[in-house]
Amino acid sequence: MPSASLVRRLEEPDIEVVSCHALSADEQLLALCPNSEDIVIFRLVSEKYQRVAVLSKHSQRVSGLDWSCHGRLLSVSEDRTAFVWEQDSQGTWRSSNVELKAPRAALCAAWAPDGERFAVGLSSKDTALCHWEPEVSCWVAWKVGKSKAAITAVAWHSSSQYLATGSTDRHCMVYDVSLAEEGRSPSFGTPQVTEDAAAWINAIAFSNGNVLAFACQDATLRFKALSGGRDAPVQLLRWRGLPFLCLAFVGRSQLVACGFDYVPVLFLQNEGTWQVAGSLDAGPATPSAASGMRDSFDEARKRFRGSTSGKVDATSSWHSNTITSCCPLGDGRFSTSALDGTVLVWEVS
Amino acid sequence: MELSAEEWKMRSAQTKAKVEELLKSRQGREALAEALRDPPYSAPAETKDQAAKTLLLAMSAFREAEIKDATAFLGEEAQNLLMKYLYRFWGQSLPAKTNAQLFVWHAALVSQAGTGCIVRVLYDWNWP
Repeated sequence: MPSASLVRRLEEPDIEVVSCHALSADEQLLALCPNSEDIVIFRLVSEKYQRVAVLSKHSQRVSGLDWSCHGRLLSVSEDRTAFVWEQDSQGTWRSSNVELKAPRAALCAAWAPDGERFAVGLSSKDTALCHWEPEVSCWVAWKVGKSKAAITAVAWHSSSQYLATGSTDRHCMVYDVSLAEEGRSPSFGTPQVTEDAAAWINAIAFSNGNVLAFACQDATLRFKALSGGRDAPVQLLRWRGLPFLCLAFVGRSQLVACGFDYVPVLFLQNEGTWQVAGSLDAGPATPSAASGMRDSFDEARKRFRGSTSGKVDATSSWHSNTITSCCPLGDGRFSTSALDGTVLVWEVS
Repeated sequence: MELSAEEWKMRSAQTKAKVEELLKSRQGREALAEALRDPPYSAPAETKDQAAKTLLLAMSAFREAEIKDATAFLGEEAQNLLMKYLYRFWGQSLPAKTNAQLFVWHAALVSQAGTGCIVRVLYDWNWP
């Protein structure tokens, strides 16, 4: 039975839900969006997160946040804009403009591992790949890929040369986004891998060992070992519970998936096959109800009619609502944010 | 599987014959497994209806007490496919007695495959 211990917990009285968050790799800076147009920034001060800034430049909900390895914060929003934030010497957060050329909402965003470029998944069925143009002092977008529906997930390969996108048209694509001396390489934008899943893609992740994992809305996980080439077989893993919304690789052969079930679930690779290892959440209190009850129809019917038994069902999980995003932190650590308004940092034991 | 409409029709007729044979020799579980093999996702509408009828025939051979063991016997893919068919049947205005029996199958499948099985009925693009 795998388990993870809670390293840190953030709960603020005025933050009711967290729709997305990003934690920098050194865990010093936390940015989150409380399902509004604002971004709240916290800094780690003696093991507690203290609020240091509220960034209010967006006019619609912030849909994606990511920290680069250089400490820049990327924020994208449903207002069709994106900003790159940096702290200046006085500690003020200043934004750089991003020419996103997005006719529709931005849904997800990710920095390349080398921190030089970032990708934004758009509702207009393509992805914007942005790089810094010093002549105009602005981040400028190149459009990558064509899809039949909105791009809901983006993930970079560790080499920063390949970008994976997942869409509600049920396809997962990996594009070559390498650069040559003068700009884009001749193979820029060519799809390298195309995978058809049976349902919307909710999340994608690349492992350090070249495994591509994507989570679909039909409560499945699909794994593709890219070392086997573009036609490598896809392993389909059906999950017993509700769909996953976010994925994070916490080791070469360890994947954490979180979603509507309130708990992070660990998956391990055993000799090439991925298997469920189990839920990582033992919860703050010993559960008084049997763990099988969540699946039981009788329990669900009772709750629907409002006639649950007198004793309070002890929450057997740290999060009490859907987990909305999950950030890998390296060394078996990851952070999760949920609709219950908390952000937790976990360490897999 | 990618087959032409004609090939699907033939395959569906073959499955029906096999299932009827297995039911005659009282091999209910094998009949069920046979009816759930090779789902006709890309077949034309009449062939899909035919496949659904064959499955209903195989399912009706089970008594209520045997249903739980029958579902345990099925593989993961077959369990998920059966759940999709259950929802298809409920949408078909079958007689109330049949509908009630299908609930027993539903409960047995949920205890085997969990709520993920139901989620797949809603979000999996392939529909039998």
